[in-house]
Amino acid sequence: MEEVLEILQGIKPDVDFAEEKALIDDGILDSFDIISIVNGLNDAFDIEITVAELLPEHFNDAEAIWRLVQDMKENG
Amino acid sequence: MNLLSLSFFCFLLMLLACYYLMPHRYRWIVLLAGSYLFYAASSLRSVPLLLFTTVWTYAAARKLGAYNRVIREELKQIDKSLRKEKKEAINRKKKRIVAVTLVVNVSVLFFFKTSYLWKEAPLLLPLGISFYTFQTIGYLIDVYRAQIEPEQNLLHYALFASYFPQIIQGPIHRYRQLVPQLFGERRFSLREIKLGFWLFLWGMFKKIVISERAAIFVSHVLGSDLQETPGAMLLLGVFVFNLQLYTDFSGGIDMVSGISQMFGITLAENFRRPFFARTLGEYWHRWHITLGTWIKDYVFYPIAMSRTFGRLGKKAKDRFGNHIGRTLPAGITSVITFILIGLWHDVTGYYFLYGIWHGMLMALSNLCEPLFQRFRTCFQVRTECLSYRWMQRLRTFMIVTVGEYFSLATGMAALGIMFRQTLLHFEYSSLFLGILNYGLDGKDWLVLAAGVLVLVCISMKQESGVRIREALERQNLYFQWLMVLGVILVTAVFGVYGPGYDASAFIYGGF
Repeated sequence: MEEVLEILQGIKPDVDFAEEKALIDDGILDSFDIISIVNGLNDAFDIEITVAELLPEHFNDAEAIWRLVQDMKENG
Repeated sequence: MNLLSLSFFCFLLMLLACYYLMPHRYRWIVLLAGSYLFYAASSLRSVPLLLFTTVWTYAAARKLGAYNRVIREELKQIDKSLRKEKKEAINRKKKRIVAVTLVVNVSVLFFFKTSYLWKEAPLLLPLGISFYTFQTIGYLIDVYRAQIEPEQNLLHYALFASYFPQIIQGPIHRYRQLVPQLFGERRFSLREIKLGFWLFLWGMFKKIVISERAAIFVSHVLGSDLQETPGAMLLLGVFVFNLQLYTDFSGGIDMVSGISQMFGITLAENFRRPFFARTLGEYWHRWHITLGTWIKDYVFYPIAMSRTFGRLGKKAKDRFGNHIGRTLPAGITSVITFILIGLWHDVTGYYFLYGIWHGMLMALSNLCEPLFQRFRTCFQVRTECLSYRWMQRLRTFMIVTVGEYFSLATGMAALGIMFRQTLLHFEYSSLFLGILNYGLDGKDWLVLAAGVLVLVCISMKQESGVRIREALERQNLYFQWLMVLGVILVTAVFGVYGPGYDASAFIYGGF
């Protein structure tokens, strides 16, 4: 989880990712940020997030992103 | 069918009566019959193509759904070593189905949209073809990605593809967003009908009082001898075109959203006061929102997340550092995406430039963000004060306006003249001396200014979080009626009723 927060903070330093719960719904992350986050996660965790996983419920908060990473690691 | 004709009002009343008198589980049939009746009455010759697209994408999605089921259920039972191989084989088959369907649908769209290039008498674009093509492609890709289950009932799917309020110019809906509403249980609500009617009236006001009046000025300015037209007048013409386009499109969307609300079905938001945007990126989050999200999900992400762009990002990161590595692939994709948006509007060089203009600026603003940040820190620029916010809004409006030069030009020569006149022969005095020579008299300008003032005031209220219709609901009944009758009267007296006033007469109905 710490690693996910680090990646997110590196991309948008001005956002409190531990607190925000609607990163997509409130428009805090734009499509450029999403691409950066996905690239960062893929590199850091050696996973391959595909377009099919780009759902708001997977990116609305840090916890959900962490769950997605865990799921990708387990099920590919 | 003319949205403002007696026949449409009769049609709407009959449909509402049938809809609410019918038992819940049959109401969708009323909507389906009404949708096809409306579509056939608006453009009978377009019906076969709509049917073809509906049946084709329905069948393709069913097949994809069957493959998804195999991956989800049957492959779980077999040995892990074989599973991957089988899954890849099935995915290849799925890709083939999607590819063939996309090629067919996009080719049909492309064929009609480019007919003027190879045919002396261009083919008339089938009504709403872009919008139902996008909507059904979106559905198909969602099924392909296993994000939704395919619709089993062809008639249910036909309603999703043809729902009459949205078929002419959007909004472009996702299956998950619209279908639960189309088939869910709804009680008759006088309040929903009232709120829907108010929204319809507001859209009508924007369209008839503001947009149609603005259109007269724009067509006179652009129809004049551009060599002789002062730059100031051209710039004003492009400003007014922004206004015309916004009030035409958002007015039309308000009208159809209001109609849909009367059936208890909320259409997706398509405009969120785009001229209040502080950046170009924000503008595109507020303008034609459903097309923007469609393009993002089905064009932008697949390109930006492809292996090629992933490799490009890594190389850029090694060479130029983290920031460029992260933003370069998305930046290049942004340029490609906007070029596609431009070409969708029209397959000409100038719309290509429109795409380049928006795409390049979006890419550069992201790539250069650290520089801008350094500049703001260095000069201690306050970014949250009122003056800075309005400066940003003005800057965004100007960027969009320059982009409209590309979309309005009828040729490269005309584009060159428009820019030359604006930059070298501005002649601001022409605004005072010649403004009445372009189709609008003093009274028209007053009405236009008053209309814009109302629009701006309401938009500012909405920006500060006020829900206008709910605020009006809290007023005395007399006042509510006064406002409703006032809008009807103002629209009747000050509206501009041009020829050819039908459902397809909205600018985006032509795309």
